[in-house]
Amino acid sequence: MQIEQVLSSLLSVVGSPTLMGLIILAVPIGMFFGAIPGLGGKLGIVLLIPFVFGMDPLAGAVFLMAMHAVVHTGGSIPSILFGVPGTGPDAATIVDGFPMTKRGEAGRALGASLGASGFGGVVGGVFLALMLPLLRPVVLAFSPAEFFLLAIFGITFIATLSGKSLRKGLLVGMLGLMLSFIALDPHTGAQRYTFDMLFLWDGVDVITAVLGIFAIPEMIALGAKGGSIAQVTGKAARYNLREVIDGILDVFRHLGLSIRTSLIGAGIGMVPGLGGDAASWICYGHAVQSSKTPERFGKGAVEGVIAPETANNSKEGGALLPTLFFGVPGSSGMAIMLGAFVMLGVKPGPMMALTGMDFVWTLIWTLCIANILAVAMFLACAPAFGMLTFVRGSLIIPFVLTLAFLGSFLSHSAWENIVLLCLLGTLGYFLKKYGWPRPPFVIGLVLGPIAEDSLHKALAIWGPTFFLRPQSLIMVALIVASLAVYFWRRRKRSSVEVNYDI
Amino acid sequence: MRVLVKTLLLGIALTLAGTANASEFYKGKTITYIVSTSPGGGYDTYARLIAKYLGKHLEAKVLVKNLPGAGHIVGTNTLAASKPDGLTIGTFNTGLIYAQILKREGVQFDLRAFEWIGKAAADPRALVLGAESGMKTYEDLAAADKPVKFATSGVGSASYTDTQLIRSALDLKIEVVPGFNGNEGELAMLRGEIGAQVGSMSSLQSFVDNGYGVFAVAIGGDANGVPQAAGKATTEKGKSIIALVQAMSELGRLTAAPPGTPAERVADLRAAYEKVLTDPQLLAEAEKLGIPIQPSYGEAVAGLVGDALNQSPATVEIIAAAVNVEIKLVTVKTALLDLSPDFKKIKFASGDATIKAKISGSRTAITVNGEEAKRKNLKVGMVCEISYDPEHEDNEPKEMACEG
Repeated sequence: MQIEQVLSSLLSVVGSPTLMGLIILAVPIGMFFGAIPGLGGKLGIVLLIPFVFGMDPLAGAVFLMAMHAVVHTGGSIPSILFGVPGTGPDAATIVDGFPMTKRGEAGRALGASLGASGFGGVVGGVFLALMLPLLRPVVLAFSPAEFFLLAIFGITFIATLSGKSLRKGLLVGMLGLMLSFIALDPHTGAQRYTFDMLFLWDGVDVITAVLGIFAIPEMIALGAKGGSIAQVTGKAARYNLREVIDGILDVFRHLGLSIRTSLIGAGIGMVPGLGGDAASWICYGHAVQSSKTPERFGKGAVEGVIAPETANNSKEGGALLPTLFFGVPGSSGMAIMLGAFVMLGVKPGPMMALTGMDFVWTLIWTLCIANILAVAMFLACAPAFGMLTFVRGSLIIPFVLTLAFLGSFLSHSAWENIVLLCLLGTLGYFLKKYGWPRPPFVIGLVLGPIAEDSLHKALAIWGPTFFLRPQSLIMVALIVASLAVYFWRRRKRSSVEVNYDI
Repeated sequence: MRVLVKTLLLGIALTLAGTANASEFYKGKTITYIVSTSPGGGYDTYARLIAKYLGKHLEAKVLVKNLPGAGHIVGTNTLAASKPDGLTIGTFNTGLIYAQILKREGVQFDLRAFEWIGKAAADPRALVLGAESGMKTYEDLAAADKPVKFATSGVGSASYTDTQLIRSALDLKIEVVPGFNGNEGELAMLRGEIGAQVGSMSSLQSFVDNGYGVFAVAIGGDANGVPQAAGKATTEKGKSIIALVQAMSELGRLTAAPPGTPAERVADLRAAYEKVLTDPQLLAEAEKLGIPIQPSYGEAVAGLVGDALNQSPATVEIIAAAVNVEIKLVTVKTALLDLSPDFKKIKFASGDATIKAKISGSRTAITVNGEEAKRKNLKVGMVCEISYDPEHEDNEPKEMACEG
């Protein structure tokens, strides 16, 4: 790694009007694909590929990279404003982002999410740079055994996220796990609870589940109650930039958390196979668990916005590593990106470290610049978005429901998903009404399949003693520690509990 | 300004002149091109590229519609059920031929009935050995004293079926570990947890180029220096299975129209498809995308698909045994060779074998020219689609749809 090469790459990006122009063009496009539920970054790359065709390889790659880097920055906007996630990994942001909006702090929540996204993106880029020499051993250290244990680690967060009653949380979490078993059995190919419906062969769509469990109940509640999303009196809707900046500063007030979740996100991104949904929920769980005041979560704690948003942007940097240096994509989005790189004439693989470092550095810088630009460009819009939450409910509900149904349909182009959305919406409404915690449901649904699939693989590869390998023992220790901390806290302060508004 | 308008008009005139012989029917129409996977990935890339040029040659708008789910079955079911007006076409995994042969649940289409437009590529398979496995040649694999772990995608997927068939054909000592999607298998080979993988040669090429593994054998294709699996099979059974996998590998990136599409539309689509896949601009673009083009068209593809589906019961049993599927019925379309005077016993050809079967008066559903019929309505020489149970001692047919 030569400083000269690193800096000259930065200069070649910043000093080139073409490249900077492309980044500036790509950022709003990426945020748009993130903000509309059901579109997402993968579709963004597919639709943009015809436009980069014939571009100079570097310019094309920079354009696609900048677009893909900020998808989740945009994705958090509808999560926070309406409780409708723009993309799967932005779903965890709802849990605290939407209550902040209800409290009239949409501006601050948007600021925190923008700041966290930018921060995570930059940390992801830096992480990518620092990891270059250690890449191979670290990526190769994670195998199905560790995936399984990581998923179990995430599932133990159900306890932390259960709120008042551990029993209720476990029940809802188990319900989520049960739902995750609807699919073809990965090991035998047998149909499980699919009722002969093909659309259930691939399992319950996570976006539909999140929309059903969170967005629909909130809108029903809002309709029943009247008023606007922001339930505050005496605070007028106005363009308040200071609030947004305050939100951005929150990221730095919780600097330790921001750095930790960024690193967890980048790490998960680097290891192909876990995915962004798992990254943001695991980081959310971590934020609750590491907080001194976990009772604030679920009711609009700003850390609950920061944790998932840092993670889903930083994972991009991580996911780029195996894509560029092994030619093995770190995520499904990166798989398409890999195809685009090949098309542009870039050949990812180990040779990259010898011949293509200029290209790699340019992409790292692009990642950082695009993330910072996204914050700057949308700083001006955020207060205006925030004003939307003061609009009368009867005007906003049809719009949000349209978004929710559209997102659910688009994610698989299956009308059956809309039926599923209504069913889960009903379930979600009653969970909300009777004070049952909803996040454990999504944790079960997201992590269940990872746990199951990797358990099968780990057993096939190493047999029943797979968890006795050194890396696995570290993970086992983490799980035990996580549970110990939970029970210790519960005993010490029996009154301290998370109580969910959402 | 005037110059600009003139240039534009000239451009339009030239474009029109270039495609003057396009079909009148398709001008200005919208064609839906169903892709049975999510956006991104091989099928989608081929479809979007072909759609772009198909639109140009037919002067129509071609919309790509992604209908992922259930391993290409959702998209293909939808295609089969689409209005056969020539405005819907689709592409899906060749592995569905296995799904049809094995009567997989959820399959609601008959690949024989599709109107085949063409195929864009051959997709030769290869067996790759991971560098970490310590094996370098096919002989190393054959001589391995412990079972070698092979990664495949989910049970029932094309990759799983291919792997099981090759295991059975070459009588290899391997252990199949399913559940590796996308590039996860390659990564597992890098980590050394998995020894080898069977996959599409073109998608594994960069893995091998990077020095992470070696091709042990290839199945089909022009595999510069890699030995062909056909030469490694020692038994008749093995040779016939390899021949089947090889035949399937010829049929990459298929495009078909729904059953019942009018003949003239099919002819238009086939002609346009052929023009698209010989268009130098498309070929240049495909080369840049790194996707090989080895096209074949219309009847030739229909013939290949028909051949692949018409397997003798013995082969079907071998396939079923290889992938551990319980097979219920075999369907063949063939002429009646012989009929006993009491109309109870028939003979017909199924693959290379001649099958003797007893028809049941109550259990066998018989139709002649689409109308319900009795045993006595059957005649020698009628062409029938016969579904029968090869496990049954009398090979009793369940359904017979005859014409003649």
